[in-house]
Amino acid sequence: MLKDKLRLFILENFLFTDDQGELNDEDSFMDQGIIDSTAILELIFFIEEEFSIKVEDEEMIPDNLDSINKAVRFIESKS
Amino acid sequence: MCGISGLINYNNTLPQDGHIIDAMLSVLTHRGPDNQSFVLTPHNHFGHTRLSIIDLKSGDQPIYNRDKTICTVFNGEIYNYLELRHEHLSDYPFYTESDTEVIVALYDKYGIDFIGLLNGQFAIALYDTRLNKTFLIRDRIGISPLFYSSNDDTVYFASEIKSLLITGRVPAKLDTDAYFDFIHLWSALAPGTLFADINQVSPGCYVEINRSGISSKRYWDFDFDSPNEQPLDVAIEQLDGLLDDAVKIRLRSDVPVAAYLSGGLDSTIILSYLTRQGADLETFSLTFDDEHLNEERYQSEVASYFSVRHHSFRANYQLIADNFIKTIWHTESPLFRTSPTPMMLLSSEAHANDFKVVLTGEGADEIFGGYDIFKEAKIREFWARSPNSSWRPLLLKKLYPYLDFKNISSTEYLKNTFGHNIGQTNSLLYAFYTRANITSAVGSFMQADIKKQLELDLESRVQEHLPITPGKYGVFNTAQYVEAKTIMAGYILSSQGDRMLMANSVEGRYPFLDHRVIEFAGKLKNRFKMNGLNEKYILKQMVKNRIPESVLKRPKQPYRAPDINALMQSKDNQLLDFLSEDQLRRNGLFDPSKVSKLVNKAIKGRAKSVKDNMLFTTILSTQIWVDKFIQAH
Repeated sequence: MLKDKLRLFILENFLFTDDQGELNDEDSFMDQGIIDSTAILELIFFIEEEFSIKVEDEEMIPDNLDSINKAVRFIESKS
Repeated sequence: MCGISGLINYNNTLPQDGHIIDAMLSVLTHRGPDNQSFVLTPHNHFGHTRLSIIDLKSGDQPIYNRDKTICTVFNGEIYNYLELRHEHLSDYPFYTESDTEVIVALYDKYGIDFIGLLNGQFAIALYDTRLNKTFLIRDRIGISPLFYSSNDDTVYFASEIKSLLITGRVPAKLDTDAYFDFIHLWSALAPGTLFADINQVSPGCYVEINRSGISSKRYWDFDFDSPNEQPLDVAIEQLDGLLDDAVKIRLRSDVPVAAYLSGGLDSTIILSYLTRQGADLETFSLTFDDEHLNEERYQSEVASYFSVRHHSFRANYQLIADNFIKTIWHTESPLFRTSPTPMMLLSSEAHANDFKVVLTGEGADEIFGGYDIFKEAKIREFWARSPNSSWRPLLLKKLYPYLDFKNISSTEYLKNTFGHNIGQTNSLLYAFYTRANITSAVGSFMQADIKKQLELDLESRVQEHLPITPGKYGVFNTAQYVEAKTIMAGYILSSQGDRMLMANSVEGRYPFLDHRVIEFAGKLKNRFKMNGLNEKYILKQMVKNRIPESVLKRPKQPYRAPDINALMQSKDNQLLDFLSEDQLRRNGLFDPSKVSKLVNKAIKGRAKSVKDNMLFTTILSTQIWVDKFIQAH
């Protein structure tokens, strides 16, 4: 559920597609050019609003946010 | 400025009726509403629409030399025409007081090398019946536009592309290679244009047309070699004298001259020279509803400081939306931003107040290193010396406040955005990777077949088109050179400059782009241009006691206008219609399913990033451009 929501958000807002095949759970957002420093805030806003968590400054690192799986693990750890 | 157009054919005799040239001129009346005329000869048809500025009585064109063997039509200004008359042509039997006649008289005396004597902005067509040759000549920087196309031995030329297309002899077709250049560099690479069979006369070049064909020759280029070793105070004194004269000769006009005032350093400096020379001045400024884009406070302060009569024009969302289609009609190019539209509204305001000429501060950022992109290149070069450093890339946080770095603690994201090809300091594109990465995302919205055509190598394209060897200059000067040859000529002076001014019959004049100033700045030590990360250092030092301190010390604010927020306000959603599935399929460039996702994001108010705004504006403006120029022909 959480993963589906997140995936849908990334596909619609950064890849502008419905094609699930365009993004694997382990794909790096940065390496694939999906999310850069101009878009990371958009992702964080979404996560904070949708999952009612607060992302701290020191948590805004690729280890927590750079793929579907990493972000899901991070959100679950905060929930 | 005026409009020129014509036909040339040295292998056959042109039909001796004027219907084609008449049609070509009919779409250039905004460039020259005061008079329209043409001349027909067996091998040349020359036409002219006049915006009368100098010699209102006898300056109508075409203009001939004394025995009528040389003829010219000309768009622009030769600012040093009085000195040229005095120093080179004192015994010439002039029949007008115009700067145009100086062109034929100098050519008559010196041949084509006369171009090097001109100080000004110009697009000139000149035929010589003695040599059976025609020359199309463009100014050094690319301020005045000049396009041409050939078909069946006939060369068609004009100030604007619409004048070529209306002949029905020039095909209207997208050049996908040029579109590739455009989505990376904001401009087609000269001599190309976004139209497949239409070239521009490259800035600093002339084109010669005779019986054996068309050839292009460069007579001038930017040069940043061999910096002078003079101390700062000496450099300031020399620059001050040059700028003073550059402004003085740009006041030559038989109609009143006004100035644009952005509230930034450059237009304020121009104003300081104008008032110092005793000009009785009126100024024009744009204001915006969005507080972060609005510079009203500084504009008022400067206007009051110099006691000028000030006009302020508010470009609200509705006006920007309502004038966006008209903007594209005049730019003849898609846009990444709406910024040109308010500039068109501003020239309308100047026109409504009976001004035909405005001086602006354009060019200082390119020539004296004012843009953040130069700082970015400097920081990237600094960072490249120690690529694993965590704190060196943090300097980038000082730039681009709109990129919202403030809450991001990890340098990984900075490295990802700004770290492309960090070690390739010899690349001509070193300063441009970041910007190109954002804007070229438009390519991912294109149909598969077009996307395939866009698989080109940018570095090779640039090397092929720019007359410079990689590594000739260091990172900073290379960035200046490439910026001047791409965005400045192809966007700032064109889409945002000449086209938006001439849409309302107003001529722009740019003292910072006087070639003497450019050549002087090219030889300045870089630290006089950017001291640390303090941009336009020499200019600030020069005027520190002559302009308001608040302007001197304010952080640089690039001119921007609202994009998606404004474009969504169009009447009856007429702009969104260009992004409908039907229209997208009809034009065949973009993938409707992807574009609909972007449109939905915009409708929901979630398309807020710089990238989303650029994507939306570029796709929309490309759709309008295709509709107005490709489909319509």
